[in-house]
Amino acid sequence: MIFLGFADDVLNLRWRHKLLLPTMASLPLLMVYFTNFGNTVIVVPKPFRALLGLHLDMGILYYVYMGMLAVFCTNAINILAGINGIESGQALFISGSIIIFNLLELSGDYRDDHVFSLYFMIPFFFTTLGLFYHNWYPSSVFVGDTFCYFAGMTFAVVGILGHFSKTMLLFFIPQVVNFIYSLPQLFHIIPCPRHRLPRLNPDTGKLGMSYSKFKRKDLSKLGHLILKVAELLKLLEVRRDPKGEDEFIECNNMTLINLVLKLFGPIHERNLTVIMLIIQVMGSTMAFGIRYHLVRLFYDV
Amino acid sequence: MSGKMSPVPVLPLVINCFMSVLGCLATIKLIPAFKEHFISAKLYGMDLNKTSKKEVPESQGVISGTVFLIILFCFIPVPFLSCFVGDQCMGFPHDEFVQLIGALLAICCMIFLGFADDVLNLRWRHKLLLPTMASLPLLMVYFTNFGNTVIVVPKPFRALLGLHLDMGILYYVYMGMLAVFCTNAINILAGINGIESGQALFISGSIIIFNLLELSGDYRDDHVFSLYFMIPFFFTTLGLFYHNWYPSSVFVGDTFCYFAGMTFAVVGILGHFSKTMLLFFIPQVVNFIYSLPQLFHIIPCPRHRLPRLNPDTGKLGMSYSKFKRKDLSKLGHLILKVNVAELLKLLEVRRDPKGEDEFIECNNMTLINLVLKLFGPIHERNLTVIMLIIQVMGSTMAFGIRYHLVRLFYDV
Repeated sequence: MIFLGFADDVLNLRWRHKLLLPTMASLPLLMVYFTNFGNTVIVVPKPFRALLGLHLDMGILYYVYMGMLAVFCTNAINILAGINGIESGQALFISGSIIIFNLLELSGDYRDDHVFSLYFMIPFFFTTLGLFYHNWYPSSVFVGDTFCYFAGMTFAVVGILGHFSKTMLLFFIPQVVNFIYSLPQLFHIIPCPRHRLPRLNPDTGKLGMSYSKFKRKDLSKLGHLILKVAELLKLLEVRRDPKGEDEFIECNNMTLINLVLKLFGPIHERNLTVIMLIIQVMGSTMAFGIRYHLVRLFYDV
Repeated sequence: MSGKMSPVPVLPLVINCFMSVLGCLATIKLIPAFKEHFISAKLYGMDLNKTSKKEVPESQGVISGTVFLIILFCFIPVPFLSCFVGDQCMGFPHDEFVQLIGALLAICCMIFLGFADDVLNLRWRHKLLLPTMASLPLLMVYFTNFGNTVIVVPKPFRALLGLHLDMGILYYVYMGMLAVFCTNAINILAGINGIESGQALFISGSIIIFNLLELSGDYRDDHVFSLYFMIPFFFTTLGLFYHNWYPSSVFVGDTFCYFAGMTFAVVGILGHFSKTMLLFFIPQVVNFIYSLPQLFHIIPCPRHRLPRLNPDTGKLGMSYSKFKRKDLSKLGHLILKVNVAELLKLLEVRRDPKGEDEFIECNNMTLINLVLKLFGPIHERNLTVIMLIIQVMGSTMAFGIRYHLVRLFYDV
């Protein structure tokens, strides 16, 4: 994955490659899983047991899930980006959370799985710390897609082979929220510009929301619906320019970073990254809460 | 691993061949498809032996290497299929599995580091460091799987050393050096269209023939393992060769030399036939030895040592290294004399006799230049053909040594 990620950075491959590459890099992982465990049976969460029974053999869908996990983790980190230090920072805090989880589980039934995960998460944490040292505001280096690929795959690997992928995804709550919020733009229902990072106001030195501007008539019905709903939920700032046919609409780019700026107003870049990392920590705390308490609603522990 | 008399796994080999042929076609199609990406990334070179200044994409070894990796990733479960379908194996052969994964890891690392070298233009000392680092997984797998460091002593030395000799850590040093050697040996026999991919193609073809011959022997499993890697390597390199042959529309890059060298080292080490494999490297070894004075800078070594084009005749002639007489060490003078004067006729030296500032010119000490010295100026395509014929002759000699002269050194 590091190799393919580096090749992507050097050769500037297209978007469809960003989905293909992690899938190909996952192949050895899937093959190892196949030859080592081959277990595709899952324990059904309590609410669904009436419907599906206690165990469900996912068959090949399990492998699809594993393959998609690497694609998801990779790209989820990649799109929560744009301000100094956020890519390496989020990965640092996610791996830190996983390490804490592994340490807690060392006294449990699946010690070996968590020791295996630690063998990877500890080097990942410390090498990323070194990268974070240079990437923190003001960035003297950028991490590149290479890092997002590397991080995403490492997380997918420990989640899959450590058999705790659902818990691992709980540590991705901010990334998942950002991903869902970004969906309309990722699918181009709302037009998506090349860069969606916040915009600097040179006078104040603070970052403000960035916007996507498009013609009213170019927007599909679904797009209009999404705009209305999001505006009502106060999740989106929409500016309309009421001048007849050629009416322009502007909405803020639908990223979690922009959403934070919408709530707090313009913020200095360093403080914005700190807020995002605090959100990451809050997400991890929530994850531990769900994993160790709310879990009783879904599984027998 | 050694000495097993299991039947030849025909189905996995057939599947491997089928996937490899697809890989060849994929490589042929993918190389032109990514041409623009490489040019935009400034990964291109100028063909120094052509008059046109066309930009030629470099580092295409990364494409054939990636196709190779994908083939092998998909192939991972195939040798073990009998264990899933019908429970035909006693217990899962984890040692064979680890060997396959470890070998893939080493090759994958090497392609990555090789590509990083091409992109970042790392220094010479890195060219020695990178293969060593990429070999680490290989050495670790060897350590955990076999750990055997005892060698059979060749007959002439048995009076001195006995029948067996435990090399200990030196065995690991040898294995580490093997990758470094194979990598750089291919890298320095370069400079004319098609020679890097061509020589690798013929070496892998020779290894495949050797493996097939040995399938009826005692170490079948080792040779099947080697075939699992050599067949995809042969076919993906064939795809690369298709574009790299004269006139080259692409260059293979250091990436390819690293990739090829490591793949050969892997099969040689884990297949336990590294000495035979080195026999297939005879032209590379000759080129290496001939190059030593320049590699150690005893004779000055210019940036490029490839043959020089004569624009009028369109043929390639020898290239020269020019330096001041007084800048040459005593050892350098000795080498010049031995090569020229003592009828070895391996070097053409021109002296400019004008007192203190006397200049000396000698041809760059490469096998390609040596061929040009013997045959005179040749057209580039024909020169590559001659070099590949030399490769085939070297392989023939290797088979002769391995199956006949071997009796002088070992009991067979």
